[in-house]
Amino acid sequence: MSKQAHRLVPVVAAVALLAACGANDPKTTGADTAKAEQGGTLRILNEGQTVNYDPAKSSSLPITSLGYVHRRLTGWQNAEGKQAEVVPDLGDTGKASDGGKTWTFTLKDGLKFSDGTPIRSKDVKWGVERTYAPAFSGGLGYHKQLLVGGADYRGPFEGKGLDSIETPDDKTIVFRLTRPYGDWPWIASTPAFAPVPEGKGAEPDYGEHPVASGPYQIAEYQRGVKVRLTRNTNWDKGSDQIRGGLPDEVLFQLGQDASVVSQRLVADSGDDKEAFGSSFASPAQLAQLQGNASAKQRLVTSKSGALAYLALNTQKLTNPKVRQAFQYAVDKTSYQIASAGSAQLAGDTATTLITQGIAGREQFDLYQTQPTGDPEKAKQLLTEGGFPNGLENLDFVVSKSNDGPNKAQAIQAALAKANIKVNIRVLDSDAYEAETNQAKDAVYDLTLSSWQPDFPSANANIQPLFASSEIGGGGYNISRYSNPDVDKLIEAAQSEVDPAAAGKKWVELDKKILGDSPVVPLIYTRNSFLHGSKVANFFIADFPSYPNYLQAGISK
Amino acid sequence: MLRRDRWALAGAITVAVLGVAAVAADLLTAIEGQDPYTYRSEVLDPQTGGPAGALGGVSGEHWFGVEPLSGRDLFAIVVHGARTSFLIGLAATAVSVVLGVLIGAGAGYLGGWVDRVVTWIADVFLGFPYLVFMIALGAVVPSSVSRPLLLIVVIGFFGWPSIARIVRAQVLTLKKRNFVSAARILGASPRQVFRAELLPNLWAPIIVVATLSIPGKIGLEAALSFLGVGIPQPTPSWGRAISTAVEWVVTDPMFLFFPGGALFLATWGFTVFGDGLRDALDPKTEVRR
Repeated sequence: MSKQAHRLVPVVAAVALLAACGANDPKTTGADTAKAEQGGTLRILNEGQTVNYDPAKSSSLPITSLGYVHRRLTGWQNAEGKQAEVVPDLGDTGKASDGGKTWTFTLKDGLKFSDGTPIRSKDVKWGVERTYAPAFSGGLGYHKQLLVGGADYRGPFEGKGLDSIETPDDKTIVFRLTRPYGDWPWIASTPAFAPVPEGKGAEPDYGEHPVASGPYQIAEYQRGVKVRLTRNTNWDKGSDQIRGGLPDEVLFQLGQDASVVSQRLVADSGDDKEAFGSSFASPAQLAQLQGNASAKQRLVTSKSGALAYLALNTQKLTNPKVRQAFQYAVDKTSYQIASAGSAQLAGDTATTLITQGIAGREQFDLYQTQPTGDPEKAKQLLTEGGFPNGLENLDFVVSKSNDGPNKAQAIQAALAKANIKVNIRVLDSDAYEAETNQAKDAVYDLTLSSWQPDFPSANANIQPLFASSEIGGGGYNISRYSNPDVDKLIEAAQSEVDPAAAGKKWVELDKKILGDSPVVPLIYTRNSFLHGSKVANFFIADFPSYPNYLQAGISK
Repeated sequence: MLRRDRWALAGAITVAVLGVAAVAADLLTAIEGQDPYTYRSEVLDPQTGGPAGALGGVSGEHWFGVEPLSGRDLFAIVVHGARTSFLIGLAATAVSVVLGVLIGAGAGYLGGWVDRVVTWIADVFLGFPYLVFMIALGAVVPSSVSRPLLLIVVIGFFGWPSIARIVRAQVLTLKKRNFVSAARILGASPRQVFRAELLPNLWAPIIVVATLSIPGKIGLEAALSFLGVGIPQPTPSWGRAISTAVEWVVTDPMFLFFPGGALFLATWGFTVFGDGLRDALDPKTEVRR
């Protein structure tokens, strides 16, 4: 549900398997052979003014900032060369009954909050219920419609619980869903499933002093300046397989300018040796690093990542032939260069909707052509679609953030070769959201976006972008694609409890949707992060394309 | 007279050269064999996306090198950017002059409450945070409105008070002169007096003030484009090129040098030329050089 740009993320480390890397493979681990040791202060340089520690309002991945303070019902285990797995965190990974409509989780023994009170199933239930309160919306909400009665529940602060979450004893929690849902254990790894002590968290600034269940608690919170995390002595490493808990302190330095962060990390002096930047390195910064051997060693790049795509508004470009012309007209090579300077840093060209590293993914290409595109073929399709003279004055709206205007110009230049003339309209990110995600009727013809699944299942690649229920109202179906057959197939695939069978159904959907051409897949975007020389065990696994904050430590 | 003032002459030549480049942008880029829109990945360094070759890729084929990440020709961007800057700078100045002369002459000639109201409004406009206003306006005005036209009207509109004040002061002294009084006594209407008696005596200060205000307007257009609310992509603009180039200054300084240098030369040229004009037209301010 959240776009990549809204996330705050890091990278995971492993001993590099450099021997296995081909010439075109990016470096996904830190350069150091030094071991991450217990102790020290890890510094995270952050562009944002705040770090959100309210689980109800968070869309943070299980392996990044929120994971320092909050545990969830389930978590992710990820490493290089391996597919991400859902693993036990507070609870086990759940048992399905009733054909996948009822899920039961059992909590581990001896779990405690930072204030010393035990973590009970009721506290997990309270945390989930809290996400329904209108005052605490904005986090990932995959569970909201799925739980029975969730559609019109308004949170626990109005005095009513959600009856479809049962807590027969302090260690058992049962979820009753409106329909079978095979990916529920993944849903249980979203921030909503972090425990909040029953009855607490009514204040709007709960995120600045939450009760911690993870290895760290918030010692100091200064908006726009810093957030300092210190050890939570009630956290038991033995019960937690996904958090290293190595540094004694974690310090977020907020409101940092991206280019200053980059210069500081390149210089690698003083405290910055123990720091890493939480935002992507820009193309200009990457180009600068190429001439600096030491800094180049400290750059980690994900192997793959979010699907960058050109969305075609199917409500305005109604003819599939015309939409297919765009598949041939775009120049994916110039897009790669515009987004990161080279194909190696930008990521592979994309031809499928399911991203690399997702279980069950199948590589195919319905519109085979060279990566630079085939304007002649596009013109031919336009002629067949009834536009022998091409298209004029299409409205191409892009967000100002994430270098959107420059990427859009690369697309604009390529489309022009196929007689498709577009006008770029640049909007601030809020105005952009209002026009694309929120608007009931959209005026744009094209837009540029990228999507990173919120959990490693093809479900999270496809449903949010192509189910007709996700058009407008904050949904991310920005190609406004509505196909009753596809909606039915999505529901069928979601109901499948067997992952292999579900995987096949998602691949079928991938092909079926692309046949209608609502979007043009561009690249699987690689993300690059820079870290200081003393940050160890800093790696990006195959999924997600962010460093694993929880495993990173400081070397001596 | 200009021939005696070497600085003003240099300014005039600079402005003339840039003006010719702006007018003949299409011809010049055709001679070079490039255009400001075509993406060319083959002239980029495959490792970084920066220009291949020294000095930002300067070569016989690309006189000013190329833009990083796109391979578009920088000379073409700079000369077409000159066209954008000059068009907006000159047109906005024309708007300011028309408004300023009419309002200033009206206030000075009519006097009384009209004069007080105009002076008061001009003071308000001079103190108005117009850059912030323009940024806000750029975000609010629908994209169906032509951006160049919007920039010309808005930049031109905010330029009238400085011209109006000078014209008003000039008219206040002129209207007490005998030839104006004579025309009035003979029954000339305010319009006739303005056209036949006042205007011919106002040209000199108007030309000087207008010339001196052009660099400010070119700079303002560049500032707005720099901030992303000026000329839309892909039309070349110095301000936007500079904005992109700032990030690249460490790896590709020439990308900043050419559009930045062009903007500097244009503003400098107009300023010293305007200064020279003022010295030439107004003996009171003459300085020995």
